[in-house]
Parts: sequence; structure tokens; C-alpha cells
Amino acid sequence: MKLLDYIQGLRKGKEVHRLEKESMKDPFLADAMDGYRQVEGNHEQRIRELRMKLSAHSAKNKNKRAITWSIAACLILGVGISSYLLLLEPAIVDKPFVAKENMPPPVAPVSPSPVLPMNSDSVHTETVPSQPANNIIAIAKQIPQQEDLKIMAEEAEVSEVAETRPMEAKAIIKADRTAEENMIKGKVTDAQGEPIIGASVSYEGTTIGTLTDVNGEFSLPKEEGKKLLARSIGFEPAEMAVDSNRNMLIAMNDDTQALDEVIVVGYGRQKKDAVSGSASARVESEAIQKDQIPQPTIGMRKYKSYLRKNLVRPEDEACKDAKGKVVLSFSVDKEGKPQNITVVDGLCETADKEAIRLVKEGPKWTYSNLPVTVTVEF
Amino acid sequence: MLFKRNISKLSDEELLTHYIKSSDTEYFGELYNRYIPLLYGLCLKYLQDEDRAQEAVMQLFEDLLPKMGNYEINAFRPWLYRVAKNHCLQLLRRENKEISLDYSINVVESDEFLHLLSEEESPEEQLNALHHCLQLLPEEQRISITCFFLEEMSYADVAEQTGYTPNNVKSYIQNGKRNLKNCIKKQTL
Repeated sequence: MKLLDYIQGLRKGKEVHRLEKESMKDPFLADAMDGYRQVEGNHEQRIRELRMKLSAHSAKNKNKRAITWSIAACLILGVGISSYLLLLEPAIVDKPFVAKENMPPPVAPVSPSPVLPMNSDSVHTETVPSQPANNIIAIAKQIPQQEDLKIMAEEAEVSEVAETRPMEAKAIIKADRTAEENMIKGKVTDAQGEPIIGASVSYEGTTIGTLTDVNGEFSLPKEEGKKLLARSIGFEPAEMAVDSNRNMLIAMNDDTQALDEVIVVGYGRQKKDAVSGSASARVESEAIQKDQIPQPTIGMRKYKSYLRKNLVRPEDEACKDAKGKVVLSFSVDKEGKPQNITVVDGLCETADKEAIRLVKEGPKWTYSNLPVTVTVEF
Repeated sequence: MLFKRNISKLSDEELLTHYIKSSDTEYFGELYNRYIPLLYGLCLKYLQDEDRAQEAVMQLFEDLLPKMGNYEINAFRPWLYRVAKNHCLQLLRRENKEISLDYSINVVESDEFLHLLSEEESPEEQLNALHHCLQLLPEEQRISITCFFLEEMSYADVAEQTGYTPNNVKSYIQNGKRNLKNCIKKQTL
């Protein structure tokens, strides 16, 4: 016996006895059971909520840490690049000045690319390509010292390069940062806080979307003011307004509609010629169901046997020996429950009542706008 | 995912050590999660209110989370019980509410004679004493005890059969147990 069964309201039987006996030795359990017995309410739901809050809390802490790390990483990256540029600066500043006397290849000192554009006759052809990319600064310093350079370049061009390069580099960093800021991140979990893998997450009414990874996490370009819609088989679709200030945690409830409620209804005939395009596109299930007379979801045969098995014969004087049929008519609401049950053809009072009871408490029906009649035999 | 699956197999104490070592919230979260049904019920009992009980369970989690490293905990379950109960009592005290508790409920009876009731093979002398004492009990207590221990019925079952209220059944059993214990002691001395 699990405590959860007790929480759900099970109070009878040997299993409960065992739990109660156990609680005699376990004050924790005894107190908890007292609580569930003394206070009424949907305890199961409350526990589920607590578990979700708890997992959300854990996730939040994790994200906080992730954010801290990413900020640290950004800082290090920023510092790294700017110090690189700073070190590069003297070479660049020197450049136009040096260029007046001896012209180095214009691009070499500033390009971060490992393959430096080279003039084939240059002395540098031997030295430069063999240098790894990291040593560019060293190269930059080296180049001005080369006395016998014969390569000519226009002064203006050199200074232009010197000016634009650092700016470009900064722009790249900026772009990196804004790219991060323009993303929203989040996680999709089930009601118990377990991540849902491969759930589709998209902006409502758009085709912008993605799938969650193995940790249930996703990231999307930021779209303020829109709604995110998460879908996954076996879960009810979940909606959430975009909140870019924090990681979004989307919890999905189990889809309680079991598959056995899916009904395939086919009807009508059509000549093949008359059908253009794919057949499935032409079928509108809603339309079919609405025009179709409601059917018991368990099937007509089972429904008939339900009626036979559950029928309680009236025992009062007037109806005890009544034999015959009661014909009922009713409509079906969206939940599949019979509504507005009326007696079309009655037998006698208690029999009619029994027939109504049977239908009312009986299996669900498919939804439709049309009324349906059911015959109950006594 | 692999990580998660492993974590659920760890014992309470293992989770605790992992948490203190790594301060990864997930470990303590999993541990605390296991006790949520018990904790929520406990808080319900003392606070008598669903919202407040929920709040208390979350509050306790947040209180404990940063402090777990400071405690020396040998057995997590009894420790948590004490902490949680104190937490609830403190909440009540803060409001200067009179704490009305049925203390008898929490008295854990020694079960030295409980086995007599459920096991067949016991010294005859003790069995005789037991039957003798059972007869001496007030009727409600005798009936409740017999139904519960010998016929393995739940409180609700006993209540249904006898027409007593479930709460009364519980206290009949409690009092009956105490009386039986005293009586058997006297008899076997």
C-alpha cells in the first residue's frame, strides 16, 4: 500500500490496515495521514503542484548558474579580444609612419587570418605563412623592421585598413552579444518536472519554432508579445506568453484523452473522378461528425449489451410485469454525454425512468448536432 | 536523462552526501521530492489549511537548501520529520495561536505485545494473558482492537462495521492498546 492511495481517498481494506498499523510505529507517517484525513481537499493536485514548483525551483537555480557562467564567458571573451586589439594597436598606429619609408604589405599586420595575402615576390613569402595565426602580433612588429622591402602601397589605403579593422572586430563582438540577447531560452517538462524530449515549441500562428533537446530545453529568436505554444504527443498543448527576462519553463499536462476515444468515421461514396487532390485534404472530420448520427463510443453492440446487463427490472405493482420497449430520444453534448433525454414511446412510469437512468449513466456517445434514438427492451 | 534515472535509485543518505559535496540543487530536490506527500500531510495536520501547508512545504525547502551542509544528519527521515514539525509549530507560534494537539496520537506505542495479536506462535502464558485482558477491556475497545489486529480491517472498515466514527475507532484502539499493555504486564509478572 502506498501513501498515495490513501491520499487519493482509499480508506478501506487490508492495505489500508497495513498502512495504519505501520503508522503506529512511524510518527511521520501518522501525522501525514492525520493531515490528509482531517483536512479535505484535492490533495493529489496540491502535491502535483508542489512537485512542479520544486522542479521549477531547481531549474531556476541551475539557470542562474548558467547565466552567471555565460556572463563570465562573455567577459573573458570581451577582455581577450580587446586586449588582442590593444596589443595590435601600436603596430597599426606605427603603420602609416613606417609605410612612408618602407612599405610593408598593407594587409598583413592587421588581418587575423592565418593565411596572409602575399605578393609573390615579397620577402615575406617564406617567413609569414609558416607563422601560426597567434603570432600575428609578432609579425606585425617584425614587418616594419624589414629594411629591404620593395612592395609599394598607397598610404591612404594602409591607414584606411588600420582604421576600419578594429571597428569591424568590435562590431563582431557586439553582434555576438546581441545575438544572445535576442534569444529566449526555456525548458519543457511534464507535470512531474521530467523533461519532454522532442516537444515542438513555436510561436502561435507562425512557422517559427523548434524542438526541445534531450534535456527538454529549447532556444528561439525573441519575439516579444507573442505566445509560445508547446506540443507533444500524449500531452495537452501548453501556451505561454513570452517572457524574455527569465528562462521559460513550460509544464505540460498529460493528455487524458486516451487513444480509444479517436473515432474514424467514413461515410458516403463518390466517383473517383469527382475527387481531385488528396482525399485526406477533402475530409473535414468535424463536418462528418456533425452530420453523423451519434454512436456509442464503445460501439453499438457493446452498448446494447450494456443496456441488457445493467437493466434493473421495476419491482412496483404497475410495472412489474410490463414487457415491451421504451424508446428514448436525446442529443449528445460536446463531452459525449446524453442530454435532454425524452421518452418517445413509453412503457410505464418506472420502466421509463429506468431506461432514462441507463442511458444517462451509460457509456459516452460521439458528439453530433443530430438527435439519436435508443430502444430499451424490458 | 541518464543522470536523472540514476539519481532516483540513490538512497536518501547518498543523495544528501552528493548534494553537500556538489551543492547541485538537483540532488536535494530529488530527495525532498520523495518526502513531499509526507511533508504536505504533516503540514496539513498542523496548519489545517491547504494553501498554508503548501507554502510551508516550499518555505522549508528554501530554508533548508542553503543550510544542509551545516547539519550532521545520520538518518534523514527522522531528522526531516523533526525539522518539518518544528517548522510548522513555529509558524503557529508566530501567530500566537494556541496549539491544540492531540498528543496521544503521536505517542508511538511500543509494539512489544503487538506481535501477540498478529502472530500465532507465542508463549501460551502470554497468549492466555492476552485473552484474559481482552475480556477485561471496555466493549468498544475490545471490538475495535479485535477487528483491527485480528481481522486486519482498516479504521474505516471497523467504523463501518461497528457504527463508531473513524476517529473514535482510532482512540479506542489507542486506549485499548495501552490498557492491554498494562494488563499483560501485570499478568505476566
